[in-house]
Amino acid sequence: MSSTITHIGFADESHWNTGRFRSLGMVTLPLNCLEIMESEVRWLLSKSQVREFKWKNLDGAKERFAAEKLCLFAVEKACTGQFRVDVLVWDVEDSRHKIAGRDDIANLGRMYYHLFRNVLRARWPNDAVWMLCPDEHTALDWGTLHDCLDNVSAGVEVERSLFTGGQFRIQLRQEFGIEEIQPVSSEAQPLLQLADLFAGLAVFSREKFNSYKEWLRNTSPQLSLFNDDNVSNNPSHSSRERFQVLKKFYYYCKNKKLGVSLENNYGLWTPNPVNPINFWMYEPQHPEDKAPQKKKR
Amino acid sequence: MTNTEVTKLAIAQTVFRDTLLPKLISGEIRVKDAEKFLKERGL
Repeated sequence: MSSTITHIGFADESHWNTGRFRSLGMVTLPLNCLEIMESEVRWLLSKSQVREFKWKNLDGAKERFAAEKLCLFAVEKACTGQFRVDVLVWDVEDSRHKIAGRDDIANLGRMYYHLFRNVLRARWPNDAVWMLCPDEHTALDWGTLHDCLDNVSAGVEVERSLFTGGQFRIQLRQEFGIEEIQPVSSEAQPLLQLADLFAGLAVFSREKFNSYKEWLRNTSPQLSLFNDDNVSNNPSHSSRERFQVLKKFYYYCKNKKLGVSLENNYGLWTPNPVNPINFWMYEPQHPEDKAPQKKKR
Repeated sequence: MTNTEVTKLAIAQTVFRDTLLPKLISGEIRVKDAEKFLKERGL
């Protein structure tokens, strides 16, 4: 028996295995808003002459215009209460992740789990029934399911019964309210491109925080009147385009009082996770909270 | 719930989180396929 899907989410990861900061972005909305929002995003992209937006390709004015339009779209829709953006960011130099033999793929799976648990149930009505659409090119690939289950110790045998027949589906519903998970292509799903944009922007805001502040100072009209040559570390063309997107996005959020901070935590951060644009920095939950490690073969 | 039941549930949740969910997210299996797979294995 299947329930009628009421809500839909698009999730994408950024920098899952490179750099200090890694992220997962998810946009969520009621299913009955999907069609109109998809067509609006398509229209915004076509106005910018961008066929498919990808954060990693943002290195010119055309992509920047698209990114700025998408940021404004997200902020305006978030204000209606019919659209959320949640980005989970983790720092591989914190006590959870700075361990030998860290398994980044398995860790990514854990982060999906945290994101789903914290957003699907807690930020939307408890009776929402979800369809989730991760990027079809997700990094998650853990060998075969047979391998995974066969590696589980014999002591788990009894517990396997919890997944028997309908129990498995009940588990999915009880934990997350998920009815279906359907990977999709970014090109075909413009809202997945939004998840990619915010996942990328969140990491960028942290990794380039100091450069951004310097760029901001150097591009301030007041300063440039008196000081022409204090650019100590010229950012790349791509970084400059991205700084402009970050600046606009932060301005849009501030203008709508969305409670998104940039200065307080050295990157995009939303102190109140209930807010509809939520940049969430993963904090280790306790001393034993450690990322998974690669199994010795 | 007894301690044993709590432990069993915690293990089951771990199996779910660490094996089935990533397979679902990556699209390697669908919800209905996972159910079928578990059934075929008598689980």
